[in-house]
Amino acid sequence: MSPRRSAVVLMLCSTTFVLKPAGGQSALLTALEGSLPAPALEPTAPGLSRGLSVLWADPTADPRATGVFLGISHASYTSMNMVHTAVGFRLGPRWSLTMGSVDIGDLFDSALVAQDPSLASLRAQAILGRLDATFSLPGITANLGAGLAGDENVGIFHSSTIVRTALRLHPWRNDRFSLRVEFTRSAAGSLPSSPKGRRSFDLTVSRPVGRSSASFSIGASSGSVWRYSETREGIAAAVQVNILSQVDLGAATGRYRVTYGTAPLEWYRALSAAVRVAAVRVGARYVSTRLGVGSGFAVSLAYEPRFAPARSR
Amino acid sequence: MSSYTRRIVPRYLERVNCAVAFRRGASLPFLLSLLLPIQPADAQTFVQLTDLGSSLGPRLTIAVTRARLNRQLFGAIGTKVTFIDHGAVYQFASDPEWSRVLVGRKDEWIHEYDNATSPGGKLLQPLGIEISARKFVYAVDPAKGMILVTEFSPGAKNLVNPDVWSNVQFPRPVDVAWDGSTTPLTVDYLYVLDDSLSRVSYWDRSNLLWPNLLWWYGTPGSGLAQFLRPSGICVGKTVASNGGTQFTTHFYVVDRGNRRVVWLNRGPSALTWMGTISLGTWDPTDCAVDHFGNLYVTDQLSHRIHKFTYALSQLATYGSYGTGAGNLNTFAFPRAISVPCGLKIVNSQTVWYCEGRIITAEDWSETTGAVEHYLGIDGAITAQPQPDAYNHGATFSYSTTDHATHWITVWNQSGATVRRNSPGFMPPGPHTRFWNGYTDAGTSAPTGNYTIGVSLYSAYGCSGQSWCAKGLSFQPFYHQQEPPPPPCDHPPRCPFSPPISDPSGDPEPASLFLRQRVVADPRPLARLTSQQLAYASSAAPRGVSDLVRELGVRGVTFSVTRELSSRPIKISVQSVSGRRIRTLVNEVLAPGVYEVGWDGLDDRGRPAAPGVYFAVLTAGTARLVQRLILR
Repeated sequence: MSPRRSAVVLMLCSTTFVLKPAGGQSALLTALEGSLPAPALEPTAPGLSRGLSVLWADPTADPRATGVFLGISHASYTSMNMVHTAVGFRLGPRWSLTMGSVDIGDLFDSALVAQDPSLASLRAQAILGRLDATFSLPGITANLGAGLAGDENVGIFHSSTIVRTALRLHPWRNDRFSLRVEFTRSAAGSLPSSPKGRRSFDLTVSRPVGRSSASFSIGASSGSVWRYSETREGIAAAVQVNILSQVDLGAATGRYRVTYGTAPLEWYRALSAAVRVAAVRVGARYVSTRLGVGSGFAVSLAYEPRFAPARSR
Repeated sequence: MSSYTRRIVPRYLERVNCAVAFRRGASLPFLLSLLLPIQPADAQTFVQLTDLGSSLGPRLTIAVTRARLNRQLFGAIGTKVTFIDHGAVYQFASDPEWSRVLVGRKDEWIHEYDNATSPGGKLLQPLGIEISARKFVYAVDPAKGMILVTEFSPGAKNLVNPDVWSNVQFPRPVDVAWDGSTTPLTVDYLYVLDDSLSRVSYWDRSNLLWPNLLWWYGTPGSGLAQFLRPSGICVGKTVASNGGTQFTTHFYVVDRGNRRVVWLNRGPSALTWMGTISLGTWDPTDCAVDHFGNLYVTDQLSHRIHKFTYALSQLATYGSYGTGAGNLNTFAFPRAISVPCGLKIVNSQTVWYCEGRIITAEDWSETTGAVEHYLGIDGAITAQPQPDAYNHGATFSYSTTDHATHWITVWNQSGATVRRNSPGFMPPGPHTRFWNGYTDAGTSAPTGNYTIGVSLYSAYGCSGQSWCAKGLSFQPFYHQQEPPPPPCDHPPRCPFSPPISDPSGDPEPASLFLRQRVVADPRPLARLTSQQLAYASSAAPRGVSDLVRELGVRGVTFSVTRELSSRPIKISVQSVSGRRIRTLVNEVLAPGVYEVGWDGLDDRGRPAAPGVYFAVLTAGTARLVQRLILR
């Protein structure tokens, strides 16, 4: 069959199966996918965070973290609550299961609900669960993960399967310098994917001083998981200080290009703190942003028996 | 040499075609004429165009002026489009009778292209044509059931790299439209309209070999999501922040068999039927959208052009039947219409830009041609100044046919200016304004007779042209100076003024509110009368939840109290992350209840993702928030 005829046949075949408009993910799902719980600082430059909170953005940042985690984020602007949970355990590689959900209540004013009480059953919510396997080899940490997202926009349901793979290199086989590349994309489901997915890159340096350490990370990302995501490109930088392996203090800033809205660029700023007592770690973060779920506080509680701050191994 | 070639080439055939002319057995006088400088004759100019490079920009006028295309060029004319490439103006016209496409540069040259020796063979009946920013030219040929895909080469001065595109989705394509809403300079997304299947299909042509069908829509019939022999399609546009023209996700289908124009929105989650309009006795054939998003529809039955807002509210009707090059304000049998678009440098940046004038393709008795029209600003008074119950200030209304800068002036009986203010650059449609009885100095104007005037200045800024401006003079009215406020026993809770009833019967609310409203289509800001408000408050004919599932919640009603009527009312749409997406209202409004609907686009005309958004009303220190839901 000639190439031209093959093209026609393929075109005809494709038209047979693609006959309906595609859906689009809601802004809620985009916000959830790009979020991370306290005390992790920044989704684009996550390399310096430690503990279970970073599993959401980058499981390779702390391949030793295991335990259970619960985090709650509250966006002050929209009165919206986001819940993050995580479980990390070792069974060969380190496995981590992360879940998150977000919804907006009181969608309709009382006058509309009075006209039709069934409106109260309509919801706007998104959930996202991920399972990641993280492998640690000398000088290399690799991650393979898959996730399932559900998106409800007042009666319209969508789902999507996403996959991600990441590789973090430690050229000197310690935490003083590491380099990560990650690729995330939508693999299946009713939500239209962005063809190239999202590519992320970060570079992290850490300097131990006795039992304390200071870390700095810069990162960049390009593309998006789904076609109608709010952000496309971003750059970020974060700095964190660990004091006596007990207290973490961090600050981060990021700049993102958005696909719609009045301003083409948006800033992200965050401050975080975490305190560890034995195997229990309590974290808090304040975010000043108009991305994600907006400005607000996040708190978390984690049981992390193998917690270890960045150090020279 | 064909009879056609003999008729038109003596002035226009380029020297590069000499070899072809020799092969076709051209006469010696003709060959000698090719050696002479190429000078287009005035009588045979392809079409007269304004100079886009002029600082004045494109112009509109209410009086139709035009230049007829040389009638010897066409057997018939299907569609004509104009592409402007950094000041160079190129023209493309289809000729279904003589089975070819004409390609020309203004005042310089014209070439024919019939695809005779290329894949797909000679064109039979080319109708709709389109050119994208990448200079891909698409010509539909319903008789052959194909779309000719070529590239326009200014260097070769013709169409090059022809290819044929056919698909079971369009066995009889009649029109094609480039959707520049997605990375307009790098990828071509196309709408293709087919009249045998009564269907629109939407294609991603980023892969030139294998165009990807994204969806199709429509079945034969007269109901929702149905068309009957559709004849034209055009894509919505809006002003971009970079000074250019931004495509939107809206598009319009001329449903000729059903004698209606259908407004659709290619939202991120689904294709939405936004509304239709039918003018009764008319025969709509084609449509075009200008720089501001105004929609023009040709009416072959009544020989007119109808102008609508993007939401299908009728703004104006132009023309009557007439033919001949010098016969102004007339249309013959307009079949197709287009708005010149192209690449232009604005603020040192290359942008896609569409003009405000239109070009129609018409048939009339003695010949056939393309006609250029300039349609300008006009306005009309719809309600004379109406003082309130205390004879204080006045509310007045007027309507406009186009985007314009408005200036409002209040004079006293001696002719002195008391108040002069501009609400700024306003869209076309109805406008209701309120003079609060105060002077520019902020003092209450003394009792007496006053006059209000509104000056409208065309969006196209053509100073010195009478059709670029329009003045509206309202009848004098009596104004009484505001009495001092009554004593108050409980400051600071005392009302600024007691709620009253407007003499016109419109509601005047006592408190500020912002409520959700389920609307079927995006609506411009409008004041609600008592009857409209009662209707809006009544139960919907079917469950509200069904409407919300289908349409989302994209409208709000809000009140303006007398206390806040002297301050700007601002309503913006903000995302869940608190970013401002769109400003819906930002002006001083008379006391009353208003509604406004959001079209789902941001301030730069780009579609927002579906989901929950927030309408935020700010007026003085007051701030109200209501949720919006975009499907």
